Amino acid sequence: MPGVEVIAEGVVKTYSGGTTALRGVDLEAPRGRITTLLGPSGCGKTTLLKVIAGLERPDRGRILFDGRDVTGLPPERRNVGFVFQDLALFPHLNVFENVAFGLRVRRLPDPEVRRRVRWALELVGLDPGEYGSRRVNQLSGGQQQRVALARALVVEPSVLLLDEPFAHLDYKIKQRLLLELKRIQRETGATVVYVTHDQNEAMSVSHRIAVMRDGLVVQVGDPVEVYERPANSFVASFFGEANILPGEGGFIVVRPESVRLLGPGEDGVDYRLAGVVDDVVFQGPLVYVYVRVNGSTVRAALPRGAPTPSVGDRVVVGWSRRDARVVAE
Amino acid sequence: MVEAGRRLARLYTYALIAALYAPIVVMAAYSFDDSKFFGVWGGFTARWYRLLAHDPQAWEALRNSVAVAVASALISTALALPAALSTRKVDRDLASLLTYPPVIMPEITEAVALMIMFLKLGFPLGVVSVVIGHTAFNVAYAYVALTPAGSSGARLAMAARTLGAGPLEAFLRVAVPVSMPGIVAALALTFMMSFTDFTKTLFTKGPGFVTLPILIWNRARRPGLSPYTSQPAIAALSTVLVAMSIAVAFTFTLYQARRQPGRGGA
Repeated sequence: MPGVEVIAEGVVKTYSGGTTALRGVDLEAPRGRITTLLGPSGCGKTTLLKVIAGLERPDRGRILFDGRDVTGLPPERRNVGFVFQDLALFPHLNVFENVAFGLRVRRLPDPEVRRRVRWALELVGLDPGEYGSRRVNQLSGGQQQRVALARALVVEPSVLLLDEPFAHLDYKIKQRLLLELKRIQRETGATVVYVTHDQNEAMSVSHRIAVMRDGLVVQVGDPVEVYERPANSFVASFFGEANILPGEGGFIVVRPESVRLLGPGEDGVDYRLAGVVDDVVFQGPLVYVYVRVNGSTVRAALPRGAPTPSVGDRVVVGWSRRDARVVAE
Repeated sequence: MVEAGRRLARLYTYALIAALYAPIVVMAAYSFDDSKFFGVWGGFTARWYRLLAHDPQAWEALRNSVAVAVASALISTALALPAALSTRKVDRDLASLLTYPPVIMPEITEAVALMIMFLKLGFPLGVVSVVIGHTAFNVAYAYVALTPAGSSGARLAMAARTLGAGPLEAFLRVAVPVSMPGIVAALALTFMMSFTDFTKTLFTKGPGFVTLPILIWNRARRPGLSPYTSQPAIAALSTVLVAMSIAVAFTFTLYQARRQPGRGGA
């Protein structure tokens, strides 16, 4: 089921309370790719997802599926798959009928419904024979998640929309489901738009990331691009960790792993600053060293095993020009 | 010390329950009393109930009460359902704001207001005006009873829409079944409100129309003129009203208990 290319053009949405959720958003979600909308709560990412699904009508702007304007279409005529944050499984139906719902309303014949529900359940890793007749409230959080995914996928949607689907799951299950989502996307070729506020999720799942803030998309790119060349200090600090220091022409952004601790006489950096170690924090593969420099704090992430200073030590930190990025705001 | 306090608390609870039900128990016992004199136990009899069984006016009152309550329960629940299923928060807030005042309004005020309205409009008083009067206020109760289940029904209906269901299909296949506990609660509540209502009925019924509470009132205010208006007979009639109310409440509780998760509900 090859998905469609989804384009949002100048989408504006103001809620009746007067809050402006979207202030002219442009977005392009390429066909057969996972595009993530990443941003803090209230940035408008869920509203944009609902506008794409037809659950919210934009005040201005257009939504295009493969060039076709769907802005005026109700959700049931857009052929989307939507996984809600709270899943919205139907409590009065068993697992099989939850997944079958979209096929039943499309009036597909029974054998076809059974075949496709089996396909969808197997795709998300649930044994149809074992789980089909279960009630949804008898399932674990992770299993409910899979049912919601199967229910959205079974209709072979033009675009699969996911609204923080794994937010309430614990870390390990979340990691596993993220990997499975990528596998499912590869196998089906679906276009996916994935909403999250979690940078780690965004990094592990996305082909393309749109960072949102205050109802606008502030930067779009693939994860490496956005990580290495953040458009501004907001993106730098929201996507990955960053040292943001005042400098000429705005701010200097340096990732902690690019900061080096220099021994006496050591060179090979373009910038160097002297400071005092404030704290040393062990975090598995990395050790974070917090160094106070002229009133601001610079974080250096050192690989475990590298020589580590102690709190109170006077040290020199430095980085090379190509690892630093100057942003205007 | 703690144990004594706990025992006292339990004793208090029993006393409270006893105080709540004592008048009804005394009334029910009195309806089986084979004595013409109040306060003297003359032995057990079912003759007051036999008398009622052959009392055409009692049957008519019962029929009217059930008809009015069923009609009002169905209409008010049907009217409240779309409001309770509204997905827009503004609509919900407005509906909540408008439905709470009728719930706390003194019933005599409602009754007088209804009567004035019907008279001003020249609307004939009778069974229809009684049903309208009950329904006008039952809508508020139905809405309050429907809101919790209705909000999840509305949410899930939106999920159904994304899966390809049109508005009507999403309503019938998802919103209504999901809201069923709320619908049953609203039906039970409004039926009871209407079935036991006296004040609004009295002011809107017009001449000749009787319900059970009205019949009890008619007979209680001129006691002793005929066997039907004797005190044990009135007690029997009142006991029938209470028993039916308890039966409805009990059925509803049973329905709710069966829906509890882990109890093997449907």
